[in-house]
Amino acid sequence: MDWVNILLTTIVWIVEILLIAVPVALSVAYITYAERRVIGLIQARKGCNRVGPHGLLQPLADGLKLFLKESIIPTRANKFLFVAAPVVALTPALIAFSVVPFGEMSHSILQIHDGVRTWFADLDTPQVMAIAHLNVGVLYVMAISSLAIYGILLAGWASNSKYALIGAVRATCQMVSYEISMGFALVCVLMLAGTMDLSGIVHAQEGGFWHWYIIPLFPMFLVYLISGCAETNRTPFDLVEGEAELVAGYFVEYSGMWFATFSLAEYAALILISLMTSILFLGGWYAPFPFLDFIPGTIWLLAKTAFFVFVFIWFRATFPRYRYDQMMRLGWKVFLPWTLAWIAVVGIFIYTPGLQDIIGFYQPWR
Amino acid sequence: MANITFPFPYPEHLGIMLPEILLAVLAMALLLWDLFVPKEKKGMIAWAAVASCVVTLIALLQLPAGDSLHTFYGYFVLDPFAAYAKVLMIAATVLAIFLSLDFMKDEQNVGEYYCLMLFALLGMMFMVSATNFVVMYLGLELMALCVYVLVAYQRDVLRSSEAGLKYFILGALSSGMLLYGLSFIYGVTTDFMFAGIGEALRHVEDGSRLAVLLGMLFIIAGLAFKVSVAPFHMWTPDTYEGAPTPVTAFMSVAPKVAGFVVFIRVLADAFPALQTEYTTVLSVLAVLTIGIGNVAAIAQRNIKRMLAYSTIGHVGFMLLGLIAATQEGYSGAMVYLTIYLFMNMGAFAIIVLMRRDGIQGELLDDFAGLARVRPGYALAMGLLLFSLAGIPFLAGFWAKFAVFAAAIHSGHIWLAVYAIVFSVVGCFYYLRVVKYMYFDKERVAFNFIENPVMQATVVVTSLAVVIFGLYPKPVMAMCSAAVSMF
Amino acid sequence: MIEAFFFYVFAAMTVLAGAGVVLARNTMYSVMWLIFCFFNAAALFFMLDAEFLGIILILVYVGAVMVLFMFVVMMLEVNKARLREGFLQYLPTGGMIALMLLIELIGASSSGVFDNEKVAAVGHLGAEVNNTVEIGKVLYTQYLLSFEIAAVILLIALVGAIVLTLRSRDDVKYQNISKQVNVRKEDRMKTVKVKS
Repeated sequence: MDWVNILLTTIVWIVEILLIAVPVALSVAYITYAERRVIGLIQARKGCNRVGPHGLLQPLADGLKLFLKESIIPTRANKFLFVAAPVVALTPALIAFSVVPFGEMSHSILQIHDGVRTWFADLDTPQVMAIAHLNVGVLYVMAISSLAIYGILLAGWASNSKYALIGAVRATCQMVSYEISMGFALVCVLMLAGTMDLSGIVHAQEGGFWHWYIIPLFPMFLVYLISGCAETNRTPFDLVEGEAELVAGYFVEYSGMWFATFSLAEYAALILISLMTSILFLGGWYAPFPFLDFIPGTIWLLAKTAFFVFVFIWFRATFPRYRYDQMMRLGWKVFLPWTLAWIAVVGIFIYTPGLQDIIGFYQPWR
Repeated sequence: MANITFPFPYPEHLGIMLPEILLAVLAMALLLWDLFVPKEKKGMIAWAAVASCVVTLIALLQLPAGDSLHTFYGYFVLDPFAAYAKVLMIAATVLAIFLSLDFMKDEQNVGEYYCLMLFALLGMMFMVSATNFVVMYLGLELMALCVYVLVAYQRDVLRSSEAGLKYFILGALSSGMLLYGLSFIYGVTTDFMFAGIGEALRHVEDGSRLAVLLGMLFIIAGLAFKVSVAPFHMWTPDTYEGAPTPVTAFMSVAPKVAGFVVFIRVLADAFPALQTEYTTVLSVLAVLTIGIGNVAAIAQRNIKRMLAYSTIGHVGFMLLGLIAATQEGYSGAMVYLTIYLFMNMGAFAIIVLMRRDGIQGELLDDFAGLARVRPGYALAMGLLLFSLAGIPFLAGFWAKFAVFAAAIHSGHIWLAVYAIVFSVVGCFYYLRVVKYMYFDKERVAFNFIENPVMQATVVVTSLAVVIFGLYPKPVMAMCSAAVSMF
Repeated sequence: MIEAFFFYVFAAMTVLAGAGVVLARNTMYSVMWLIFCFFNAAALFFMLDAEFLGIILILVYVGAVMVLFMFVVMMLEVNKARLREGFLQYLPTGGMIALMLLIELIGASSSGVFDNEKVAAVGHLGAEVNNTVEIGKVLYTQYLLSFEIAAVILLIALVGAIVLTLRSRDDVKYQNISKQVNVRKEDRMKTVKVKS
């Protein structure tokens, strides 16, 4: 491989990364805006509508404010880890996007691409619109999003503050607990799809909403959604930062840009969970009815994602916060048996001769 | 749609594993059932555990004995050797459960205690049926994990926790050694099966010889640790002393059976090409073990510690059978293990019966004057101790006779002489207890546990010792039938 | 070429991280070095086309085991300086064991078992072999028994941990939620006729 080739490949990669990272950052900014408006509407008030038309410039103003604020390090804090924690929190939230397929390139685009493709044919699979087309994509997302906890843990410990520490400890228990039921919900999807490749899972759901996994796996869809809510520490599971008890939980000592980084990570994780739910249960980039396929798949995927983001905001406006022991009970005593039972059900369906034909509808690869 | 077949190639051979499958299912069912048993009725769990053992035993006995049956891609074998060892281990487990009946009833989480014993039994059953290092190691770990927990069961008793922790850390170390050795052997032979390794080692290049030797040394060290062979015996006295007495009884017998069976299989199947080398290593270990076990036991004032060292000594004697590396030797080791099971279980049963106010009769002084208070117990204990010492015409004598004869026949005469000398030394500390019981004044008052099942255990074991002593033929015949394939 | 370069980078990082675990003064840093070490090991797996193993390493060890490690370290506040007091005293023994293991490893690896031509036969399987599927195939056929025993071992680990830690204590005020929820008027309230 000569140097030009390496250089070109690197440039293509950087462009691809920017193409995902920048929209994610922007949508995070506007999700905060949407959150305030939606909650405002639900609570019969206006929400932010002063900065710019309909308050649309509010996120920018917020960003500017946070950017200009002084970032304070507490005296007794562990300085290195204190500064490292926000970065550790943000990195996994962003790199998890690298395997998410945002759609498939249509044939015509492929042909335009062909000139460039020869340069990096070995390194990329251009059919799927993802930075990396990994055949264990589901596991990768699981693994990387489970790393988000380190940011919280380190922040809580390095702050040398009891509220932060309690927040971090709660976060650890909560995220480790819900990761399990989330993983089991995923196993059901994998059993049907027969692959761990995210684009493969989407392919298995091709053709109309009656092929989507939300139908055979509806309980798992609920478990996944709710566990996702707990994983991202959103209301009603935001005990990690429950302001009534812990002021702001693990980031109580953070200010300015570092604080903003944590928010960024949190909302990025929210987008990721919404994306994953759409891909795993709602047929990814496929339209609900085949005749609607003229609308590009990416738009469908983003629309589904936006819907789930809305659902999470809706949750926040609707539900009161769980008590800690109730939350643990839900994770271990309700979700875990539920998911295990459903795995058994799916397994029995797949291996019992008569039932095979029913479930076989959702296993086009057989 | 493609037809999905169950990925198991010969399900009809699943029956070979029926005892294990039944035991696993029953143990798990017991674990669940325990949740619904009220605290005062937890004794039922013990009886259910015994019933599970009996069911397993029946399932085992109805299987065709006689030839080697393989299943699970040859990863599991049922041959007379494994079957015999399984019967022994089931017997040991049942006896240990009997000993626990009264002992554990005031503890918390009693139900899990019996389940853990069953799971330990399951692990050992996999160990003795393993034809390769993977299943062997997993069975070993399953057994060891259960025993670690059982040892530390009395969490409020400091020395129980201490014993558990010590056993756990040293056990983990020994597992590490075993695995390290395995990695060498696997590197050279690229095989896990005992037979495959044995075949590959027959024509191994000179360059790999060092790796093979190191691997074998580490494997021997790891296994030696599990059966407490000196110099890997350091955990034994502390663990035996700290563990709840029924657990001590259990772990002094059942894991030893499993450990020796695995030891024999590994040496005879995987390392026959290295017989001269491993004979040297084992001879050194045996000399050390016999010496340390019998000499250190003299200095002990605590009878559980004394029996721990006595176990080490006996393990040393059993090693002679392995060193002989003949059918006679292996059969001798099995005879030894069979008889040892009854002797040790009986001795521990009496110790358990002497429990008072949460403390067991453990010091030698506690046994003083036992003959006056409870002549029956004293007689039984006397018989068992005489047998442990190897006095002629009790079972223990034939056990020793079998291994010594095998060692002499295979040409290890000086080793046999050494062992005989030390078994005479060993007589001293066994007979000292007898002296305390019969010739000393009573020093402490006892309230004995009055539990008919436990008393029956004592009677059965001491009777067994006498009967085996008078008619050793059947045991010897069974054992030589068990090892007939070597 | 570029592959060899990345291999050496990851291998060096792994060794560096391993040294960091042992040498770090702060226990928290030790844990973080260990995490870093796992990451690099996972990267090495990736380079061998074993992406399933690599991801599992991250998912299980970094995502779960090390979190609990860190949790414990955070809670315990181990003073590593004090742990180190006897450090030099154990150095001769420990160092000797380490040296022995090193010599053995060198001896074993130079014994010709790991010669290039033998290893090359294993080599890269390439992208057309899906190693997740392959691992699944051997795990659920040839190693089925081992797999099942391993499952029982994990069950025992769970049971053992619970048995050793779960004590019903009388001196704590614990809320029994189902009892609270299921309480009825009659349980709490008594109507008493009082003479007026």
